[in-house]
Amino acid sequence: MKIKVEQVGFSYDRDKEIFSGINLDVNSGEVVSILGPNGIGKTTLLSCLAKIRIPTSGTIFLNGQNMSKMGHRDIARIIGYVPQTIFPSFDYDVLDYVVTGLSPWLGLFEKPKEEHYQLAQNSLKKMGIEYLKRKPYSKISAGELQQVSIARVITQKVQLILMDEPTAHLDYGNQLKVLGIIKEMAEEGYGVVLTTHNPDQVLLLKSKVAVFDRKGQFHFGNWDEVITDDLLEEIYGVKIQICDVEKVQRKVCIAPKIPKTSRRT
Amino acid sequence: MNKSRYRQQLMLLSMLLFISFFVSLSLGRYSNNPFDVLKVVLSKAGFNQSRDSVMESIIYYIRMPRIVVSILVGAMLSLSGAVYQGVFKNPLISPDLLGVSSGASVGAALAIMLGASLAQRQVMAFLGGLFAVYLSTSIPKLFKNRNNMMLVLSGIIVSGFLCSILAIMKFIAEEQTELASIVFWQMGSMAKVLGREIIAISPVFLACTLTLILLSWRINILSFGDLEAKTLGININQIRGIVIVCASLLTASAVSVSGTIGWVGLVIPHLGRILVGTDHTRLIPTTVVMGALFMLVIDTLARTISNVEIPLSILTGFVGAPLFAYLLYRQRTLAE
Repeated sequence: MKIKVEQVGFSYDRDKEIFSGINLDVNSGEVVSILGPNGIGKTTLLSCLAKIRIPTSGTIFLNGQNMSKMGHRDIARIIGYVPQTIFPSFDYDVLDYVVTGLSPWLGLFEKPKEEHYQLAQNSLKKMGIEYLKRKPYSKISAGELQQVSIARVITQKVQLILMDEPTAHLDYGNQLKVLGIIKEMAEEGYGVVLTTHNPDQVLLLKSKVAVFDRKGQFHFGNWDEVITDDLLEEIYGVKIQICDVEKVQRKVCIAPKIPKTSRRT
Repeated sequence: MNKSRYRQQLMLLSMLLFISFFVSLSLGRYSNNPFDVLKVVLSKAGFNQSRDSVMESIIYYIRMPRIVVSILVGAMLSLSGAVYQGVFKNPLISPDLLGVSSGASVGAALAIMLGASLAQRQVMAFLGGLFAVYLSTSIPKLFKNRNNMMLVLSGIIVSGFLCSILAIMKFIAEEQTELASIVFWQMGSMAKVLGREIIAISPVFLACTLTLILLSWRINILSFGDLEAKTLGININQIRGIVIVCASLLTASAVSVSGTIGWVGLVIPHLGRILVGTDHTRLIPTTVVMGALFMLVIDTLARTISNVEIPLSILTGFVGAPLFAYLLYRQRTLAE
């Protein structure tokens, strides 16, 4: 699997361009984290990759094919999407929800059979949440729902997983757990693209990064080449430092202090 | 919920419907004796020589068509309610959304005022309903906003507008004859149905129900919302379009023979969800049978509890509104 983004731009209306000239690529087994300030277009870029939105300029190639000419069904066989928030409006059982991952593989009038439910159950087992299968997906915790959503993508048999802020609603323990899952999935050969507001996660994942800074500049490359103190300050507008912490034997990314605000009291 | 329990429940409901069919067939002003019905059926089958020709024509030409039509109408309204709720991701809407019912009412009322025949009234109601759907689905396109909520709002706009048109028509209708028949038709009645209504609506019922059953699993996916449906490889516009057309045809046909009957399309799908869950592959067949059963019971009550025929909407409102209040209360306590 290879997805290649060439000179891609997106604007909701003609005057206001969200971003333009984006170049990046993702291969099997790679993790790409998208960093950037609020409202800069991280989720928009992710949704272009899923063809939820179509880029207004440039081209995205999926396995060499122009994605704008591919059908949703063909794309859904390769790319899976884990939304930031799921808003359940009905009480589907978790298993009934997860089995819908097979949608791009079943015929228009086809319904999932025993074997398909078995596949869904295996995905739940893989995520270690088989015990949830008979629970209504509207009544489980945000962390569990996140994992259920990942289980559905596994059922979908995709090669590239897009995750919109997979750790946004999770407590710290669950955040690390999801990072662990992402890492394992990359080791199994999945390509993963995620957006995050926490730059330290990039250092934990040792992933590739795609960065929007506040000037609208786009940076793409390996974490150790791209992430610098200066760039982090450029992204978030506050001082952030990368330090080697001997005790945990890794680089961490921390704010030295709470910055002064311009708020008048 | 496991498969065998679902099958049992569906079987049980179908048996209840079957029993209600015979009970309803034996109830009426001419004779309340189930043995008379049995005699007629047996004589038709050639077992019994003594024939009661009055009873026979009452059963075959009066009660039977009415029972079959109420079964069909109940099934049609409930099914369209269930799938509208599914594709619009909104459990609180009914066939009245999209203005289908109001559109069909305007068409039928126009036909009544023009002195058209029953068959013409059906066609007009049908066209009115489809026109309303067309309007409701055009507004979001016009605003370049394909959001589900936009469609709901445009349905409110369209049905509000059509209700005003209907009010104007009632206002200018001739008081003694036209107004009375518009009002009575609008409140919903099966009193005047004949065999030809069955012939008129059953093909629509069969074709649409079959299509919706075939698409039932895809409706599950549509009910997750556009974003998830798209990333699961669904051709949203195609499938949602087919589902909406089917549901609207069902509603318009039901309205054309029996007027607007409220609450059925809202309450029955909720009852169905309590019984078999949200999965549309189970919900759709269950809703069809439950809606048929509900409507049959209501219509049988309408024609038997008093000397005068009671408009159906009065009864469905009496039963449906408190039932819906209870369902909302139940959901609230479940959520806690």
